[in-house]
Amino acid sequence: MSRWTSPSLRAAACRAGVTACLTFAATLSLRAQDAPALAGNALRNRAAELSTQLAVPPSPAFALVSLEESAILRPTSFQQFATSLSSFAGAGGGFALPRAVGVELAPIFLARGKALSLDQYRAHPARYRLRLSGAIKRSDDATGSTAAALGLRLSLIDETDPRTHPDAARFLTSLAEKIVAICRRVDGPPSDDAEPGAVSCADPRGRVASLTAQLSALRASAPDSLRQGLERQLDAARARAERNQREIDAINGTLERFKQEWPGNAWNRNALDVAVAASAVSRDSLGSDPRFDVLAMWLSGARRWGEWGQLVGGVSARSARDSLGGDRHAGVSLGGGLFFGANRIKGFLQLSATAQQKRKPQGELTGGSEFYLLPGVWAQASLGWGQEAVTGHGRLVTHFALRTAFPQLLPSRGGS
Amino acid sequence: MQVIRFDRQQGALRVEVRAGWANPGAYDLILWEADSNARVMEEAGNFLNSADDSYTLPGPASAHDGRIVEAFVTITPVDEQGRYSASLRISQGGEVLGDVSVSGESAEHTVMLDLFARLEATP
Repeated sequence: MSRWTSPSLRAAACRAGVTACLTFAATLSLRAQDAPALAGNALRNRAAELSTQLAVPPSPAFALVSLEESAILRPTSFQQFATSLSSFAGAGGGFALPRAVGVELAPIFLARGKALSLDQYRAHPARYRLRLSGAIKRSDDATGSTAAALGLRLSLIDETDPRTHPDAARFLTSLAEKIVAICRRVDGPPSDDAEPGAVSCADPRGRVASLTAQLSALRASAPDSLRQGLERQLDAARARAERNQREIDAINGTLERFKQEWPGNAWNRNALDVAVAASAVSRDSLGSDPRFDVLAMWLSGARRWGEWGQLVGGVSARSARDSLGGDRHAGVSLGGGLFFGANRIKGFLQLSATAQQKRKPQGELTGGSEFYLLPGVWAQASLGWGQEAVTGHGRLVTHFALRTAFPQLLPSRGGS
Repeated sequence: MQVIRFDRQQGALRVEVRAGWANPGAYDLILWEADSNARVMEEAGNFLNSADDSYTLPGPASAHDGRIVEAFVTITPVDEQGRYSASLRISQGGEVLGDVSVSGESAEHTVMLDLFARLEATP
């Protein structure tokens, strides 16, 4: 999950006819290790994500091959990716894949990251938000049949991404400018033995440490006037460093508040996501007799409606092989809805329809609410009417879920 | 301290401040007089637009022998890992003479970096 506080509501909704269900899904470390726009993606608590039928899965390949979170690698660099792969080396030097493994990364962002400027990113944000996911899972049974999937997700529009949001980027820049202004107070150039690196603008030249070391090194026989002079310099350096640190702390406090409030300001911003994924299964772990299994596509969009609302729409299509008969069947789901309220409490009305080969079309109309209970705990409840897939009879649809989304809040630290 | 050598007979020196991982940030660029606490030049900028982050050092190249060029850079990492990268690039006549760069990951809201190098003229 992004360091930017955000409850995440991606857990699958539980829809079970007239039976209410309770979901308690801990969504720890959901995303963002890799993708640039994770900042944007993870801080979304946007309304479109409330609806599983409309939502584009964050990692499309994992939607086709279900994996435990612990089996997923999200490398933050290609070097880290290579290191992760090397851990799969077998005893004989061969390559031994674990029973289940998934990889998700933003390849273009990773490739250009170190040299990628903010304006280059802003010129082609979708390119850098592209995320690829891949997964392999071997069954536990004796055959060792294996499923593999590949997917990609593209966020064409993501107004929750602070890098592309002009106000957010400008605000973050203005805070950085204030800290730089504190660094600028140095009274001389760096020393010959100094090395470039991270510093604290409270005391960029390390005067406090240097004077402390000088005082400690003074011999007992050193003149009192020398000692007192050093002590005075040290007191002055400490006072200056403390004053600077207080200013830096205040700036970081403003930054932290901004990050906490950003999801609330951003919940109903415009977004357009598309994803595709395909999977195949083989008879054994060696890839014998591979067969194409599922092809799926998702498209969802959200449009802000004033300060309090958001219109969302989505379509997903899927062509899958029947696991028993081997026949292929296709299905399409369409949906749209209106979400209204604020970040902490939202209401929604949603209409969806599903058409599948050899089945009667289904429709569902639901309304409900999602609301904040406690830090990290959200509740969602809905009530609606839908059609049974087989009989076509109407049915009451209820849904209740409790979700945890522990924000990865950074402690209030004073900066470097 | 890193030393960057230049040709005193050639054209003006240029300095560019850059940041990676598409992070917002700001910097202060200082040119220190040789063996002195005097500032020959000081410029402030940010990473909203990289087109204005390149500066020509004042005067002929030979004037910069022994001077120190320094950039204080503050970055506000946007992604979860707090990845950051910044560099100070010195060039002359379109040729890159040297690059002082620092990169890493930080859990802090802001990362403050000090990039500097001494300029030395080749005989």
